[in-house]
Amino acid sequence: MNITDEKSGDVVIARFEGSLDTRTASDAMSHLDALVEGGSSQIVVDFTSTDFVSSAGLRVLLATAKKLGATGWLRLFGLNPSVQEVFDVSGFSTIFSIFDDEASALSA
Amino acid sequence: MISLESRARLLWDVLLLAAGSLSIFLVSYEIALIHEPRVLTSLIVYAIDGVFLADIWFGSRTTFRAFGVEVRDPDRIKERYRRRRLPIILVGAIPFDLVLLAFDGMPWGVSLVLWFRLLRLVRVEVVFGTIKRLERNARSNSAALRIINLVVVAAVVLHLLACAWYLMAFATGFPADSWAVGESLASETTGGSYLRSLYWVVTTATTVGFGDIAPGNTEEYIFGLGVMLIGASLFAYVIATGASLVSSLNLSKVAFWNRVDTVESYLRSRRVETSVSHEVRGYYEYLWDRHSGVSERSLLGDLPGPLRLRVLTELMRDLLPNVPLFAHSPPALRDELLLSLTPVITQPGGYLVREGEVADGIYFIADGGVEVVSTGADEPHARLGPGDYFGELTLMLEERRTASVRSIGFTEVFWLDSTAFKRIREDYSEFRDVLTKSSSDRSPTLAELVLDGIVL
Repeated sequence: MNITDEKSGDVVIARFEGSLDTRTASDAMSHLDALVEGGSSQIVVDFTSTDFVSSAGLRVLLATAKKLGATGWLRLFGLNPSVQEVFDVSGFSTIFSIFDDEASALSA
Repeated sequence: MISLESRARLLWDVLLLAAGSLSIFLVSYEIALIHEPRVLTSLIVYAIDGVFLADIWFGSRTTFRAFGVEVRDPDRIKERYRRRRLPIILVGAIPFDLVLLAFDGMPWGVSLVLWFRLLRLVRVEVVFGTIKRLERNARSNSAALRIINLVVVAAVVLHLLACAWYLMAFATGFPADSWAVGESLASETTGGSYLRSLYWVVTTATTVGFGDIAPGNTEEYIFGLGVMLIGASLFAYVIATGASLVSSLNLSKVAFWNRVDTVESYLRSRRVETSVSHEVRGYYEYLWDRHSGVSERSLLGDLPGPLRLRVLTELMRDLLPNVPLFAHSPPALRDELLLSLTPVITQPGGYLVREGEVADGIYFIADGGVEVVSTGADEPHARLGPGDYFGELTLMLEERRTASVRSIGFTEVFWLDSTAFKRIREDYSEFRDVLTKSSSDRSPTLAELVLDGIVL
């Protein structure tokens, strides 16, 4: 998995490419951890180029959201239909703020 | 139109039953022991005639059941009534005897009017027909009605025989060798005479035969023979029906526990551990207490689809509004889910799913509670109760379960297998929204489980 960061004001946009699964979850976790520890409290994850999210991937996102707590936020956008369905059916779409595109994720 | 299952019809049947029985009793008692029409009994008899004439209106408007369907066609109802009931009602209720009031004839010492009133005895058919109808329409166990039927049959037969026994002596002018002379009945009160007649009939019919009252002439011996034969048949019928009633009251219970005994003896013969046998017995005890011994899975398997849906909806009427999955589902989706779910009962400590298993469907908890446990963890990760569900994550992510789900007490769940889940997901786009709404309350718990590495 390849992750690239982009800054938009105080917000960091982390663009995930590839699958967020058991194999790649630890890299993604380290990356997001580094962002949080580096002082970023407003993170948007771009899933436009992510085809699959496993339970390990869900854990990465949940752990990051928990670390950010009430002071910061984690927003997601660009989820493909199958990934979106996993979030919907599990009820995680009510925990995360999920947007259709980057603009709405940034302007919310 | 009056439905055969309506309350009005039930009340009318009870009235017919009471009125019919009373008229049979009065008519036979009056002819045998009073011999002349009295004003009060005549009034009662004619009032009962009125009730039976009213049945022409009531009966020809009451629906009936044929081949499991309630027939509401007025022509068919009237035709059936005309054929089956009307002749008896007319014979029994038209007061032919009123015409005879002008005559003074007293054949065998009894008023001609009363002889004609005997036509009302045809109402026996109506009385027993009504009991049969009540039995058929009884929603619950009709054992009570069968007992009433039995008592009425015995009472009517014994009463008629007692009246005939006394009337025979009276009509022949109390000959010197008659039983009635031996008992000095000519100077006895009406009630006393009836009691003695009834006493002889009962002792003879029940084969007790004390012999303190005995036939004295040829006619009485012949009558006595008849009573013995009728009595033997009657009491054979009463005892056989009574015995079958008592055994049928517990039939389902006996059959259920016999099955449990068979299972237990099989387990013993295969040297299965006692603790396992106890668990099996515990399951059956629970099945008996909560479901009267009926396994919903086998019951529902016997029923055709539409009927299964109706039964399921009734069985789950308390559950449907409380389980979010059903509460949020539109009717068509709810029906589809109901037909696709398999009821499962788990015993205390029993595992619904195990760590390492491949996903096989979603489990919806209906009653009881479960705990999520995993190897190496001393404490359960979470406890789930009625309304909660699990299994959807591994199903959608095609992963193996990383924990087991164990029942705390007896737990009842509905299992939606993976094939049905996929089919419903494809056929009903709203299913996803329903699951989202249903899962919103439990998402924090699920999030904690996922953070702990637990995927069910």
